[in-house]
Amino acid sequence: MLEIKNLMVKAKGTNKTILKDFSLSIGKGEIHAIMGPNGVGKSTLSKVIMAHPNYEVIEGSITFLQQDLKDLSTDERARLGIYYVMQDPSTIEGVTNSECLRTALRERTGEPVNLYQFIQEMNTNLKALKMDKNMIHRSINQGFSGGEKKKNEVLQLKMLKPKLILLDELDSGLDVDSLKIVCQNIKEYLQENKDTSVLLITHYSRILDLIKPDYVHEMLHGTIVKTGDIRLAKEIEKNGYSGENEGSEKDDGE
Amino acid sequence: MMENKIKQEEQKVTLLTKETKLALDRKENYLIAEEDGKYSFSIKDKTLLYLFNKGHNLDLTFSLSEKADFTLSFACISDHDCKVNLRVYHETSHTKSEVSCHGLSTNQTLTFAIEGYVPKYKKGCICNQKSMIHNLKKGKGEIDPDLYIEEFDVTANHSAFVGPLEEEKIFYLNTKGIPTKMATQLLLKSFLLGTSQNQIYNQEIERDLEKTIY
Repeated sequence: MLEIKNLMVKAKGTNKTILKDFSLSIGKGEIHAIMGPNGVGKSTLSKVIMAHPNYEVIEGSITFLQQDLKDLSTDERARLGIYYVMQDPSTIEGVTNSECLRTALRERTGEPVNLYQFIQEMNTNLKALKMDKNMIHRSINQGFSGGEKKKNEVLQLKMLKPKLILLDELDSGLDVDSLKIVCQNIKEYLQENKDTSVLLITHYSRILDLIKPDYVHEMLHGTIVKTGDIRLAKEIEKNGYSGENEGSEKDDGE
Repeated sequence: MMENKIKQEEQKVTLLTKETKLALDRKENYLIAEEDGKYSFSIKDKTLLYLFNKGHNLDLTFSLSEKADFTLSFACISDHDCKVNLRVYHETSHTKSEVSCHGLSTNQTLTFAIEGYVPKYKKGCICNQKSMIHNLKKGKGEIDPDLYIEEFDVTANHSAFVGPLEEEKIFYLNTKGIPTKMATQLLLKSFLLGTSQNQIYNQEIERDLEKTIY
């Protein structure tokens, strides 16, 4: 599904290399978690997969569904089927959730959106996420609490139906109940779409109790240093990260 | 039938001319400027004005008196040198003005010169102004905000911003699969329309915006 080979990435306009010889392979239907201290490049990884303009790939490759992403823009990658849940989703005053989703759906298919079907599907997903129906008419994330923002992102995920989901610290800013609702909805989506893969970035293992990963990777100094299963996450939580944590260089993305 | 007539009246959008008078009995007024000119208005009551300028040099003066409570939502799209002078005079105490100017500059320089005046002894006035210009392509913007306040018992604020659209917002919309041009259009549409709910007025802005972006 996703193949990252020997990726070297720096922050644009600097000489600072953030990802160093980073490689990762995610198969269809697999859930991968990446854990690591602040500043090692975890968020940078997800932003680079989405071609964020602040980062530059110096070497290496990213392939999705056998397609090299090198020359594809962010929106092209999204339309291919990659969905990115940001750690802190943007607030966009004046553009409603409904308008954003309908535009996104129309860009995927090239056809106008069937309003009736759209509303039906929206209402089903709003109910599952325990969100107020009126939220769809509100500006994107404006006045939303942390939990509501993440629920809004998962709502959009369910409507856009991606094949690869990037979750960048989904649990940050979420209370226990909201986290359960959000994870439950993602799990249901994965059960209905068995070929969908997930890359989950987190500091804590509690979310891994809700979305159980097939693989856990420990990341340090811009690369993966250890790979295991959920037991690795528990070990990290108990003993800390392996190797020296030198208060590594600040990652622009974090 | 009566409901439709009222709806049509509320939807009415007029061209800005020297003879234009703002309807005091109507909650919202919608004007479109299609030529250069100098215009003055007397505001005496609660008045909400939406004014869309299609890149013309305008000189606008609003004189507030009696129970004036004036809200102006001004939008401008310009692809050449364009200057808008806008003055708000508080002629009596306890008058209120909220002026919001949003501009899009795509080629040369768009300038907003916004002035608020509260003379001495005109107590309890509120004089606020907020101006923003977004640049696209080779466009530039200049904002000259001035508040001339001679009375202590007054609330007055101004803010000014000139710059491109926020990259993070465009990136956010891109991550949903929305191409950059469409994302730019969505962001600028909301920026220029503000709170306007008038279909005809909104369509005028959207049409000009689309021509500018594509």
